[in-house]
Amino acid sequence: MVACDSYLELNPKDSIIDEDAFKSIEDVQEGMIGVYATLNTQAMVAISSRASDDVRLSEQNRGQGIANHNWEFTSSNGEFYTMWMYMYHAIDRANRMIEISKAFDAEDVRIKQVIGECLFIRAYCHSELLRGYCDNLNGDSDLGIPYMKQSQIGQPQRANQAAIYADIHADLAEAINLMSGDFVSNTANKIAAHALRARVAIYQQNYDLAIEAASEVIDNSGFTLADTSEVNDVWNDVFELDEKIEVLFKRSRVENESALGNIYIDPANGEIYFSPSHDLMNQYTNDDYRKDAYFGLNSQGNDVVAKHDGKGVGPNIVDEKILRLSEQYLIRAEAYIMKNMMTEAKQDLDLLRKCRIENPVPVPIGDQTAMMKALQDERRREMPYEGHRFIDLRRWGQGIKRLPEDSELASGVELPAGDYRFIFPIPQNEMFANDNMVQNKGYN
Amino acid sequence: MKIRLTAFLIWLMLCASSSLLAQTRSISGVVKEKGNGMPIPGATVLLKGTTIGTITNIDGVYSLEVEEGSQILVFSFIGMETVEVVADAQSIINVDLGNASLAVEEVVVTAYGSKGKVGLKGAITTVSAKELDQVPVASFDQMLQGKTTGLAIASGSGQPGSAAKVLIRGTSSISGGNTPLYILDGTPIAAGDFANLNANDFENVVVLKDAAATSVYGSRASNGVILITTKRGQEGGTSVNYRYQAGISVKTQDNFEMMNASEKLWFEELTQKGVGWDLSLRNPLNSGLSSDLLNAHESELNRLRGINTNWQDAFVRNGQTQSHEVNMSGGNENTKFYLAYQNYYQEGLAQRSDLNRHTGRLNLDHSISDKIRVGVSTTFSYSKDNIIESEGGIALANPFAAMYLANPYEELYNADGSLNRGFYKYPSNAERNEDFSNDYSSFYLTGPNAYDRIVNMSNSGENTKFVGVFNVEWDIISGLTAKTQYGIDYGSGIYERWSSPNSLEAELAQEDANYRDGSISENTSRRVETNWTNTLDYKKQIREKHILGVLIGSEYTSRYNQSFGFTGYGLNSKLPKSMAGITPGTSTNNYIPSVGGGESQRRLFSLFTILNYTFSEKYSFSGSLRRDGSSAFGQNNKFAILYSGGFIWDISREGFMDNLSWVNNLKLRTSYGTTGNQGVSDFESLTLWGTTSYNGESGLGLSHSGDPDIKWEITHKFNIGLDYNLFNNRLNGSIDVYNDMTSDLFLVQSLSSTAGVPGNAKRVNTGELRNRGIEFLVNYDLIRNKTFRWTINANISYNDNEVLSLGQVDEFESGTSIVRVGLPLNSHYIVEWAGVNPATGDPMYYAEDGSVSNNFNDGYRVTKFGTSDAPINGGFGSSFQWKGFDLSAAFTYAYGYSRLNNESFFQENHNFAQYNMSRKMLNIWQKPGDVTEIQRLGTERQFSSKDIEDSSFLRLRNVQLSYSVPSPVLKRSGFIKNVRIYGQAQNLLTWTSWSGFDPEDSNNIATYEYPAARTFSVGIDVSF
Repeated sequence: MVACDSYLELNPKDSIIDEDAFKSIEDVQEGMIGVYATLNTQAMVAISSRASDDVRLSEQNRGQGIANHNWEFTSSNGEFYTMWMYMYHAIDRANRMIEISKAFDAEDVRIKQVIGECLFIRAYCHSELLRGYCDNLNGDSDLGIPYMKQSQIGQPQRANQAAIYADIHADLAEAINLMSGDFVSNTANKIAAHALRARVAIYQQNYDLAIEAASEVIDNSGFTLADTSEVNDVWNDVFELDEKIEVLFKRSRVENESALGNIYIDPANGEIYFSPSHDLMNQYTNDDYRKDAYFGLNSQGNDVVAKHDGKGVGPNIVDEKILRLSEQYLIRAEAYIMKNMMTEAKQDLDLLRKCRIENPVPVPIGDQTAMMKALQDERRREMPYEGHRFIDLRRWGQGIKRLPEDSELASGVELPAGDYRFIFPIPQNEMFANDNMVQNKGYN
Repeated sequence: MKIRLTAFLIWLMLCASSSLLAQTRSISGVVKEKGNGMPIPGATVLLKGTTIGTITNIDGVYSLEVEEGSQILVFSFIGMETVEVVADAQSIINVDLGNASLAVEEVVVTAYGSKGKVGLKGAITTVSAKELDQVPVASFDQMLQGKTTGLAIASGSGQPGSAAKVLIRGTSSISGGNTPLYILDGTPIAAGDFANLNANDFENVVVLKDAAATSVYGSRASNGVILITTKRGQEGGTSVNYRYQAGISVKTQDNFEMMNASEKLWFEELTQKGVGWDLSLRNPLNSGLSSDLLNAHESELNRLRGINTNWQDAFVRNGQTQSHEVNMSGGNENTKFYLAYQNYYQEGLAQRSDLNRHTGRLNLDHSISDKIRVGVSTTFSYSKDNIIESEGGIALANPFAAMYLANPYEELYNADGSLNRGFYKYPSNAERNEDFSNDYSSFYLTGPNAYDRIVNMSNSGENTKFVGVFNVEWDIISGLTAKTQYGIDYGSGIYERWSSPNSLEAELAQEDANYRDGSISENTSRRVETNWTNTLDYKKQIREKHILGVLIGSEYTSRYNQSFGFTGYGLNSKLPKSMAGITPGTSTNNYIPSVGGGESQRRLFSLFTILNYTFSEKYSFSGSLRRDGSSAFGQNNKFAILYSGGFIWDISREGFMDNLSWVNNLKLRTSYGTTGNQGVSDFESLTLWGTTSYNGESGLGLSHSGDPDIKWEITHKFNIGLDYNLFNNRLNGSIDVYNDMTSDLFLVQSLSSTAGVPGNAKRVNTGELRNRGIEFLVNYDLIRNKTFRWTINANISYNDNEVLSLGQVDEFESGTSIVRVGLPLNSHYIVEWAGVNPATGDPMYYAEDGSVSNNFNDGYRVTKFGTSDAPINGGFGSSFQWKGFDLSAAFTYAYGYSRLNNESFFQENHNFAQYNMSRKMLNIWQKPGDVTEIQRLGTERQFSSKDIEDSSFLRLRNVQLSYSVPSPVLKRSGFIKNVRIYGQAQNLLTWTSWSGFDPEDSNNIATYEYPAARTFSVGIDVSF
């Protein structure tokens, strides 16, 4: 009967079964490619752009993201589910590859590299979820997010936020320990891991750590900021993957892939969903190179967001820049300001402005409020449409008040500071499937 | 030959000896029917124990020479009791024969054993060959409708050869499939693939319903089992039959009344849509135009009003049906055969829709010795079919939609005879076209453009099918038989889709569209199911009263599916319908062919046993046990153990029944047991990886997250039934009551995203539903004597379906239906229509609280409109035989269900006024006070209970009149044994309140499905 039962051992011919998928280290490396293929960072950019004061609703918009623009946030809103799902799925793929890698020689540099990259992806995705869905970023909240350290079907609870920060730092430390020093901008690397440490540190208001980690990137990595002549090239993905200019980590995109620029412009006919807000465009001086890189005019002469309008492989398809050097300068400057180290802060801001503006006016040294204002303005100018603005406003305890000329078509004009909608709702699908999940305040 | 010669010689010697030795005397008399005293011609009178005998003449008179002395004469006639009379010295013996009250053969279906020592007994009904004979339908499942209890059959399409939806005792699964298991001569065959089988070859079709009958088929049996047995040769001379049938299919009545050209153009003007508005005086674009141009407009409108194309005539035809069949059967003691060939050709109602099939069959049985027998049953079939565009789709390409939606003022041909395809546009002129913004509009020509697809595209298939069953049986010792059997069901199909470079689609294509110069695609599919069964079958009678039967067996089943297809583009106009005409693809021409394919497989290994024990002929116990291992089940649930137990009490054999001579047979049956449903996909339990890429580099990505716990759905079946034969067997039938509980239903469970499972959902075994019902079957011979026989039969089945549990949720929506705990499956879920407000013309709906509102809100949806699965199904019929004439009629019905009429949603919707409209739309609300069901212009037409219609129907499925030429006439020819001629009508009449063209459909929504045809045919059968 045993022999007969083996008749039932049948495997598909056009898919690979679990046991056969990873038989060599080369297979594991191919699996790592699969982890990157799962990564999609666009939802955060979409939500943060639409909900912020950086865009203006276009009359050509046929419904794309209007609810988010008007802060009609509900748990059934698809964008919050998309982001939640993509992040957890990438985490799951990373966890699977970590598990699979354990079957191979732990000392092999290729295995160490894969595990390191997976740990970085895991830390990054959790940090994205944390800043989107957690109610308080200073570490004392119990409404964190589940930190998944292994692939598992279950109903995990929201972890304590301090524990999540600890997990992220632990993963990043281990990633740095395991990864080689080689740099390729579209895969995880040591420099990006330090950059992510700095980002997470500024969120948790650990300024010393932020300065330490950002300095590691700024001073020890050999990276340079794109200068005024290179600013536009960054957004057209001109640089080679091993060039240490500006982009520390990105998710590459090729033909027929998901297009980040579709948030703003219809790829088929060029209709505008969201234009850049006047409020944002007013922030730039005319000699600011970012203005030309970030904004443009379409054939009808209307303002469009040009930052993600394509690298030449199809409309709106661009690499998703996840970590950039300029953010590190801004993080360090912010940390210096918080520590009242105004000279150091000024230096960082001036250096960044020099690389962006033809004739930059140096930042005057002022009190903490004034310096913080200068930092916030510069950060807004530098990093719109990259998934930061909406979160930064919350982090800084600010509200949103759209200009009249930016809110002609929008029903949402003002979102007061501290409004519950600065925190994303836990998606309805997750609430439905996970009995242990707790919804954020204000949502049902 | 040798044997026959010997017998002849012995007989000769006997005759010689008797004439030599014996004195003879003559006996004569009349044989009459008991009760009415009518003489019986053709009755047999035989001297017992000899071959000496005679047959009564037309007046029932016989005379016979017998030996002197006491003799026993045996009088018999078919259908009558046999009477023995001792003839001592009488010279006249008159005999009255009563109607036979022979012990009724119980239906014993022989699962896993062709000689049937151990059978299945339970809720089983049989459809015999006669009822499947020469029905002008290509797929036999459609023929079963209304024939017996427990079956709900709905044909979804009138395309020749299309399969029906077959449900046995209700819907027992939500997502695991509800198709019964089909077994042909002992091997499982593909469900729904019957166009390549000739039902004339079938001896009978048996429907197995309860646990006692189905459980031995294990994890595939929850939806019931249909056993098909084909005809086999009989010992005796070779009989050759030729059968011919020819017929014509015509459209049945529909209840749509569409607008004529004048009405439509008026309606267009009203709705400000279409050419009727474009050229209207009321159109502001036409204000200020010269009276010459306005007159030209009016004369164009008048021309259009006069067109009135009948689009039904363009798309529907009278289809021809023709079949030729030759079969022969015969054999001797050792070898018997049945051989048949049939060619069946049927045209559908629609243009470019037909089936042409060739089927052959050879069934052969041979005894190698008294102990060893071999047999084969084989059929081979090749068919070609042509299929219409967008069959059953809400699409303008679907001819059954286009024939209603095409405007009556469209013309099929231009004056020069070319197809008037594309768009209608009034010629531009400078006067109206001044600033290029007031130009006349273009209107899509629905009718001609659909017709262009018939002419310039094709959609055709070629199918081959082989079903072969080979077996060897060995009687090891008395009562013990071993059998091994190998069966194969092989089917392959090639489908070709062609779009001409001259088609309208190609003409209208964008510059870089790959189909701009036509396309041709070929898709092949192969399905191979093999089955190897081994059984040991033992039966023993122990001391008169005990009969014990045991069967044990094993079964290997494997199923393999493969498909491959490609589409090539850029067809050369000189080779427009050939793969040779494909232009090779380059990076710039966008002609790169698309290629795809896949394969899948599953296996089943089973061990099973059947036990029968009968005590004193009165009490029978049966039991079965089966262990099914499936490659599709999860690692943790590899084997299903399924069982059944049954008990039969033959009440008519009890002593207390002796006085009730009118009871010929009365059996009480009951059974309980389990069956399964294997509706998981082949590799659902496995975690799988596939190729993916990042930045152009190839990698491995998770494609499916398997669940090692996934297993079969399980149905606990309880049945109690009664079989009866009363009044000399004139009244017979059965009653069954059942309660089937299905649990571990496959349902989609939502998962936390943190699990990383693709789709964030997986199917799990949860949820429960119940089917319970009652079935009545009755046959009654109103008149039965040798010249007349008038019988009626009727059956009715009631099934009550209810969802009991859905696991994680209490309900989920599916289109306009809902699956909700406490309701039957496929319950409509829709807002209730409250009519049109006479004051405003707004559509009104019932709100949750019962108030009437002009707001349409999904929250108002209610479940009060029943389900689309008919709870009551059945049929009835009658046949009348007189001499050689046989007249029969068969009705089928389905009652108590409703369907969503998506057709009226389009035809009664002013927002679709660019297409032709129902005449009901002429009553559209126009001014306050108008009382109408048609809402005003400018309102949104919503799906509501207005579109739910009762689909109950009664259909005169078949009427047949045949005449068999009396054999004395044929005897003169010397070689013709039998001639039968007949005429029949299929789907002659339908009674329904449904407003579409066919109330019968395989799903909940009417979407211009291909309607069933009304077919008239005549035929002749000749036997040699």
